Amino acid sequence: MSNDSPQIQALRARYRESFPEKMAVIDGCLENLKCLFHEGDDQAIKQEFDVIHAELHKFAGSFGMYNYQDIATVCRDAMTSISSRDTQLVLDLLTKLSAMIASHNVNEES
Amino acid sequence: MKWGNRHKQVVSDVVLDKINQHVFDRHQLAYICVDHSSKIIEYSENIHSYGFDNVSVGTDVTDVVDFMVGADTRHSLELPMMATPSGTTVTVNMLADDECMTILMLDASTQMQYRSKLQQAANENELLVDQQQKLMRKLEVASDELQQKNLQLQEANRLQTSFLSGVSHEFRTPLTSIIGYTDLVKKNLSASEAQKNSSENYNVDHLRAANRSSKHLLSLVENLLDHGKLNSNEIVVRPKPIDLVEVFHDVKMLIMPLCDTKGIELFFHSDFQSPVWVLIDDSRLRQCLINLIGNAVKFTDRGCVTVSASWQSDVLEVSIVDTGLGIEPQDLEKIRLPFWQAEGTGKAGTGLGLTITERIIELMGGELQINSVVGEGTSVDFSLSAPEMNRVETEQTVSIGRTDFNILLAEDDADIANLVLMLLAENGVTVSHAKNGEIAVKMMQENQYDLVLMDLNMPVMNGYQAIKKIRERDTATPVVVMSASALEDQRHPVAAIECDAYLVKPVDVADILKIANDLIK
Repeated sequence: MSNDSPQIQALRARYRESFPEKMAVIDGCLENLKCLFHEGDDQAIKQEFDVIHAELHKFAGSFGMYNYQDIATVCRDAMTSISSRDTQLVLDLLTKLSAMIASHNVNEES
Repeated sequence: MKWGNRHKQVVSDVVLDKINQHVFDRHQLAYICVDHSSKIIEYSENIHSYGFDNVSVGTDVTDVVDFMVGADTRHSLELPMMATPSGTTVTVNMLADDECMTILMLDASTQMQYRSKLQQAANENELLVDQQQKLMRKLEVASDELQQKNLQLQEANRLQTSFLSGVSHEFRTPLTSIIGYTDLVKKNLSASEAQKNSSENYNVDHLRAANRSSKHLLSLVENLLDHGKLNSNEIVVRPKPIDLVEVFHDVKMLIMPLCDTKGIELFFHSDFQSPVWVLIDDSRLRQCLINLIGNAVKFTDRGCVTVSASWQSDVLEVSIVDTGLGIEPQDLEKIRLPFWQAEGTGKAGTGLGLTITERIIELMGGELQINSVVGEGTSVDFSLSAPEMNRVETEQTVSIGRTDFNILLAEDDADIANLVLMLLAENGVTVSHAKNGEIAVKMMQENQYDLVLMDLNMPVMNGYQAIKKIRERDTATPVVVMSASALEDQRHPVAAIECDAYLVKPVDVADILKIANDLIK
């Protein structure tokens, strides 16, 4: 049941339309991190973590605000993994994040 | 009347004589009169009662009274308490004049006893004071030790909570991942396995089992996390409109497989069938129901678990009755303690579910009651405030308070900014937007706002720097930080933020308005 005004509903619809773009950002982070992980460049991984953390922080906020709590939670979990420097776990969670956004995108389109 | 010589004579002849007789009789006054060559001239008859048997006229007094040896008979002297040959303590006054010396002895036994008693009392008192001081010292030492132990206990408790929270967090993250991926694979597998025969569906069954175990492990871990939050008072209850029918249906679907596995029945009864919209924290309500019904199922090996729910006059009452093992009377209070579990039941768990559930119910304004009979079963009852949502919706606009504020929102994320701006505007708030900290500082310098909502992670100038700049010129306007992370998760030093409140995203517009009403005078 939605109590949202038409304007808010329109905002929410526009947010959903941005999912492919957000998936692209996540996939981009994922690919970069995978390459760096294979190269074993710790310094570069650390810098990449900073970039990814900033993106995840934004996503955690906006997905949460738009009632996608499950995605926001995974974003926070990924941020925690970055803090503990667990690269493999970060990769797993980014993969999961991309899949979840894709899943929501498909479900809501249909 | 003046005393004439005649009166003095009467006093001298009559009264003094009586006084003398009284003193002699009552106080055993004895005397020996000696001349200045120490020869005894006269003595009182009662001198012998003091043991001076050989006193006689003409005898040298130093031969019969040993304290007179060496005494100068021409000078008066008073001696302290002396012991006479009879053992009596006397006071001795030696009164000398030109002709003789009179040695007066007065029985001082009573005085002596009194002094002894006084001395004894003083000694006993001193002993008591000494003992008291020793006890006080012991008490101080014990108090210090107790304080030390208390500090150690507090530190141990803090470390335990911190350890549990830290470990639980670390477990939760990969578990969430496992569950998410098994859910995804399960979904994909189910679709393809549906075409095959049942003997080849074992992949789906195994995955389901792995998924269930992971979810169970996650719930244990989240209980540990909640336990840590209990200790630091971090558990928050956020009421929102929910459909009770849907909540109970979801919980039933979740618990049913557990009952099927154990071969016990699960019954749900309620006096509400069609959707019932109430204002309550649905995630916490689910948590309580799952914990309590889950416990009932865990401790019931045969028979059934019956859940009864009733909603009347804005109160939700729930009763969970099982035909399980029952709880010993002496354990009924202990089961509410964290980590306590009854011995010999062989049931798994952390022992935290009931503790957390009870605390959540208290936070929601209810009370948990447990009754049990060993061998027959247990009933758990609680009631919660669950106001009907339609009436609450109207009342909420009154309870939120004022909305005629002028607020500055500093937020770089366009999606979030647009949503917050629109939600606030729909509630009658005048909102201005700055997309980074630098613009926010400039707008604060040029305009007057009732309140600032500040995101922390912004480009050009972040929220920390912006607040610092604002506070250099304006210490009055309230600043409320909105961030996607709780304060302790921030990667930047946050000790110096001079904000008036901190909100963690996602933020409800009602939360913003409530804080605005609290902060804006």
